[in-house]
Amino acid sequence: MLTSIPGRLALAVASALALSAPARVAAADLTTAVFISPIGEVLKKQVIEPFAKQNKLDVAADNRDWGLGAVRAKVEGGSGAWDVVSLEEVEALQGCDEGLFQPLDKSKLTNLPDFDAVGEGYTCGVPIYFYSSVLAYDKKRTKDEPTSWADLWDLKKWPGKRAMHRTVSGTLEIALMADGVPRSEVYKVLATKEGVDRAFRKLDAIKSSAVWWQNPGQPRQMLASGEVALAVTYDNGIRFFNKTQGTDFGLVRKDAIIHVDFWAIVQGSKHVDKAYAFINDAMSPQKQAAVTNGLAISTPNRKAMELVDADLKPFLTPNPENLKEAMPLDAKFWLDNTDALTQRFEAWLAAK
Amino acid sequence: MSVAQAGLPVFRRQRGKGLARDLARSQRRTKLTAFLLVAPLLLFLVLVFIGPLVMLLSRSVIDREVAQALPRTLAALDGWGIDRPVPDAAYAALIDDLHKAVAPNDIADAASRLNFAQPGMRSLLMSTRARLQRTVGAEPRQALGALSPHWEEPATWAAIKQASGPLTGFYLLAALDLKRLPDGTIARVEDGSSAFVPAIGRTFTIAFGVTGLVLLLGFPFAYLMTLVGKRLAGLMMLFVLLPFWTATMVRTLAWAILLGREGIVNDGLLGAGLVSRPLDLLYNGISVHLALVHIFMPYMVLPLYSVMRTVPASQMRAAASLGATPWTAFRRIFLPQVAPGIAAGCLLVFIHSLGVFVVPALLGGPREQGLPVLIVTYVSKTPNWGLAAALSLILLVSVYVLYWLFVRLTKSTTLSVGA
Repeated sequence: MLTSIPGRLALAVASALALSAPARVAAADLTTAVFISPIGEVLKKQVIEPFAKQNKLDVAADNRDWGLGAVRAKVEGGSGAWDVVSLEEVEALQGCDEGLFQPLDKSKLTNLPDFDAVGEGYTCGVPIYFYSSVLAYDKKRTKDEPTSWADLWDLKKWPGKRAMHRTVSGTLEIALMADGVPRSEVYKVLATKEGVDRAFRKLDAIKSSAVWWQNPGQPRQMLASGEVALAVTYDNGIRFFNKTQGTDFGLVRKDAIIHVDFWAIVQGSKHVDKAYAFINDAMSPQKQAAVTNGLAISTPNRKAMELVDADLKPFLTPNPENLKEAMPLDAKFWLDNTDALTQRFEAWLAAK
Repeated sequence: MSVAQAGLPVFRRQRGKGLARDLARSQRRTKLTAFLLVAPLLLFLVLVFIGPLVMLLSRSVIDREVAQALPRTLAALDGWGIDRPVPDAAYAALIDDLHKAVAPNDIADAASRLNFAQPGMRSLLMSTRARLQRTVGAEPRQALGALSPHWEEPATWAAIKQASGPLTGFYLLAALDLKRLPDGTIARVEDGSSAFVPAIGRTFTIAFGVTGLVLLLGFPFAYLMTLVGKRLAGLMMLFVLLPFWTATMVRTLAWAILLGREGIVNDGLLGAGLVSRPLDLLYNGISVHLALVHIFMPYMVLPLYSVMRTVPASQMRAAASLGATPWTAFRRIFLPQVAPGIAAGCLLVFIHSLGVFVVPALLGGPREQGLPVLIVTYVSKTPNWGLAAALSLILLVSVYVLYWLFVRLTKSTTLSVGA
């Protein structure tokens, strides 16, 4: 039969149909989405997989890109729906307003009372962890240790380039604090046109020495290779880099800017109960401590701090010494002003 | 028995016409068959490529969010101009609209849209909606004025009216650093508040620069390939094709390592004593151009080599025997025949380097960030699809204009990628 043309045709058609039949994948019991980064990896290993094993559920851990646009496209697109998403502050606020995420019934989260006030006031999100933007330097290359943001502008004592985050949020606050504005007044000043002008004027002074990074891995690499003398980067990354690469980076705790990441449940999720169970489990002291130990990232859970490695404790933001020197990023301010200030920032960057 | 009864085609008196018509008829059939064969592919392209492209680009002119969320307000503002006081009906209509917005997301899109035009409008609208839920029965103007002094400002209402749609020039104007003033005239935005036109300029400058460099370096290389023996030419071809075998990201990061302050290049220069301090080779135009030339060299060398191979070497010898200097022979014999290859190579490299995103993002400083980087920012970071679409439209139109100019200038030359 197979030697005849109709026979061969039938075989070809049959195999084509068989190959093109969509593979029947069982829908996961719960789908989470975490950032494509070391953070995402640690969350998968220490939180998501243990949860799945413990409860004998099939929990999928998708990767998500930065920017609310990516989340919105996925949520509104509808296919392979996410149930639980990790978010940055501004994304949590904006997404909640836009109805992408459900308001959370905080009474279902029994671990919440253990949490400090960090990341409070978000209807649709609870904190996963938090970290700070700090000034970092290589102890092996600089003998003088910087003590405040103003040192970023001291080109005599620390000559060379500075690595700064290519984003307007965080950078303007640093400029104002270096210009002498106390932490508590920064957003008040930034709310005025003169304040914004002042921040940009201050940034003009180091514009020619600044190197702008977009990926958090870049400033650490730049410090290690001597490309830059000072860097604005995240504290947990510095500690993580020191541990894994054997570098000796130091950082300045004064006036650090706190960033919080949140869990949120997507509107229209079909596994709301499992989502609440997952989030509550992720907030438990054991899981929080596991993430902290893995990433040197800070946990808002007071009970978890007791379970954290002893050598890590003084380094973390929740350590009272460090927390009192830090300032949380004002997500509400940036929700309103990111559009206009980003345009101005891009214009400023490109101008000579 | 007439010809018609025999069933043959009837020839009219004017034989020419009948013949032409028959010819057209049979040609029509062939054309139809050809079209039907291509139709599935055409349908696929339209559905998968052209359709989505048009939908995306149309977002640069479509303005529906405010009309959907605040219909009564817009109706009340019909005919109002900023020179007149805001009508009371508008206040009542706004309260009505906000009460109808049961969930925050009913007006979130409109709030975002208005925030692009006037920062602060997002939180104004969202908080007004939230707090209005709790105030009822008050007089509209008083109620809104009590919630925020911004509602007393005509500029706030003007922003709402300007976003009435259904079509708008707002995004396209913004992409060209222009804006429409409340009285309707178009003006440049404040100095320093946005810089898309320079970004467009930068994109084209880098593209022209890279194309020029690639032509300068690729032409001699391709010519050399035609002169050496077959085996050596094959080896040279291998070197040209090698960049294709590594992923773009890997190539780009490799350049970052090579050109760093403690990278191999600086190490070599310092060690040889040619410089006393490491050179600034990274995060500026040098690294971007180097990497782009490296990546796009094959696109120039391959068409050039293919075309150069078709030029018989005997022609150059003949020209020499007729008394031409090498330069004259090159200029008058070789170059005109190779021109199609040059044109094709330049076009390929130019269009590719317009859309390159990874290399400027990873290796460039702020002055190397062109339109592609900005478009990505507006798509993923601050989801402003209208502006991203407008910038994409501008890029697309500029490319077509340049291509049209290019075709006009090289009218007599056809593009060729080899015989």
